[in-house]
Amino acid sequence: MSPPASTSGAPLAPLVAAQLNFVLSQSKLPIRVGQIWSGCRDGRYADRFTLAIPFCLDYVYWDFLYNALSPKVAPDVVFGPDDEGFQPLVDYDGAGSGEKSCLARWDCRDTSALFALVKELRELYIEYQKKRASEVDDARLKFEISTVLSKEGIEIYMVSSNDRPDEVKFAVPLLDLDLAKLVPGCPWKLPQKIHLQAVFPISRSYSSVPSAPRLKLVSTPDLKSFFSVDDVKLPPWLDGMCMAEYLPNLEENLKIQVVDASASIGSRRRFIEALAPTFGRPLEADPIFCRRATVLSISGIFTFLVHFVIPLQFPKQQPVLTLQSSQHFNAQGIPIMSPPINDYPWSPRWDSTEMVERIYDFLVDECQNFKRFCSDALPQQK
Amino acid sequence: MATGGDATSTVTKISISGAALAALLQRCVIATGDCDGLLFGCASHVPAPPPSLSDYDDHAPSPSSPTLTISIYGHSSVAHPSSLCDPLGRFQLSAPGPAPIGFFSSRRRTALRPSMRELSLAHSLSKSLALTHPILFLLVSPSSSANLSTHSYDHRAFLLISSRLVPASLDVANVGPGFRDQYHSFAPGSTMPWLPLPHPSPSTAGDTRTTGEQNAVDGMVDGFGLGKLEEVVGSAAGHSAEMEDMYAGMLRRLEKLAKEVEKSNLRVLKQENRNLLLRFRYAGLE
Repeated sequence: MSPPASTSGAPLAPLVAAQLNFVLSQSKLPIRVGQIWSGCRDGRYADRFTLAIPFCLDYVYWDFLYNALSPKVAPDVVFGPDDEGFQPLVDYDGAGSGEKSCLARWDCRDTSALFALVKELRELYIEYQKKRASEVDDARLKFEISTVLSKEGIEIYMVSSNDRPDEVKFAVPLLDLDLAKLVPGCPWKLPQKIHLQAVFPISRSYSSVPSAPRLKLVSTPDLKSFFSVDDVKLPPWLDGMCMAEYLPNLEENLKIQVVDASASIGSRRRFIEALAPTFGRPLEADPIFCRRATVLSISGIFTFLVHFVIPLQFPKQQPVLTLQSSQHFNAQGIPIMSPPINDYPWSPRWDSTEMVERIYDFLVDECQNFKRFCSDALPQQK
Repeated sequence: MATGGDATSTVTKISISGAALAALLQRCVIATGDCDGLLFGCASHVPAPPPSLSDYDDHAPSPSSPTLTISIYGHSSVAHPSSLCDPLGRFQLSAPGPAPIGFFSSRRRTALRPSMRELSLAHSLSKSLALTHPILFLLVSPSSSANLSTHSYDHRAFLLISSRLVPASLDVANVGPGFRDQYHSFAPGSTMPWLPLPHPSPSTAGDTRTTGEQNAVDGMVDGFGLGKLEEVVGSAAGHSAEMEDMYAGMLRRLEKLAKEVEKSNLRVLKQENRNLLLRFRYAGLE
């Protein structure tokens, strides 16, 4: 699963481009395009590309091969080097169910055709990997698969490599709730999810006690500005435990923290609103996740900006302040900034007005230090 | 699967003559896009040789196994992608002819791994042909550098063994002492009718020949009756003039064929260019 090389120059043939753009704009999964290249003799039109298709918290790279000069011919697909056992069309033929496939009624003018093909193949691939994993001769794994496989959206990947023992990776979607609803004015285009990644080593010997799986929470990237899965402490995995036992506890735990994160947005918003009476209206503020605000301050004739970076654990953790001079610039013409400050007096029990007033009091003295810092920095540049 | 199974224990040798490979690569390179087609040739099973006796007892006799020899003699292709199958990779027989031994697929600048459809086509072809040897698949990936200074003709042969396409080595048989074995084992296939010595009673001689046989001879020599041919073969000597006559007829026939091919090639080229323009328009290219 290595990332593909960069894109070449020739333009995509129009019918192919329309289908590819449909995939990239309509898919609920973060599908990416890797290399794009041409299969024509003169190389004038690009008609083949690699798609990175999300699978089991990773990507599989598949080459889609069209023919620019034979537009009516349906594309062919070359799967990854480790997936030679994945034979969707052979399986269709064996089951006599080929007519269900979107390839059976391929229409090159239908812009959604590739989208349907990718979706169909991805679903078949998920089933293929599940089948592979369930054929592994490991009693514990067989039990895990039989108990959690019914969970919707679960993906399993069988990892074989020469230099390491085989493993089976599970990607279990957690929390059956729409996270976007917890964030007012949510900007996310794609559905956000938290997954538990559990990697089970395959034990070939029956005598040993099976070791605990490696567990990790993984979230979709946009979620990071709302909730950080790295801050979640996973419940311990006890000996002889199985995922069906482990998951309810974890999900309950996680749900409380997600609801807290949603409440934290409210307290961050109140904090930003409380800045206005003391510091004046913020120049800039993050209106959705309320993670950032910047105010303009003056002390005598010294004018400076104060950047507030408000952590996800607000109010338990205090905002990080950075001062930026409006009057002092370094040799590159960049305004001089203070180092991040997060050791000023703080209590999470104060109400937001008091928090702001205490920061203001702190800055009255701190800005003098910063002014000196700026003046000291200047002569060194000369 | 009818094929495979036993093939795992046999040693398979695949060979193609340099000229046949060159013709195949040429076909792949001049196609505007991808193309595929059928491969023709012959396959023969050679039983395991008896264990050889050795004077040296310490040397363990090497286990010998039966050998399958597959030779590719030629190909047929319409130089169009996916011409052999439907989008689901199911084999569609276009014209009846001799049974192929496998198929080839050419796709520019792609990985030398069987694609989804090629795998399906291999299965489907194997099912519909019911051959006694595994289906042969030759994957060609022609590519050239940006300034056309370097052309690569990457290719790899595969055999359909226990429902997987397994890479196999492909020997290119060229002219020379190193390849004498291959040429000695070559068995030509000909449509020339079998001509036994004429019957002692002349009354029945003319009637045993069928029109099909006469047609086969006509395909090779213009204006040379079957009876005359039989006389040439049957008599001992002194027919050198007749022989000369037959060869001249053969050459005339060849020349006529060459001219016909030249003319029809021109027509095909014109039609292909017309088709190309139509396809350009359909694909929304300029």
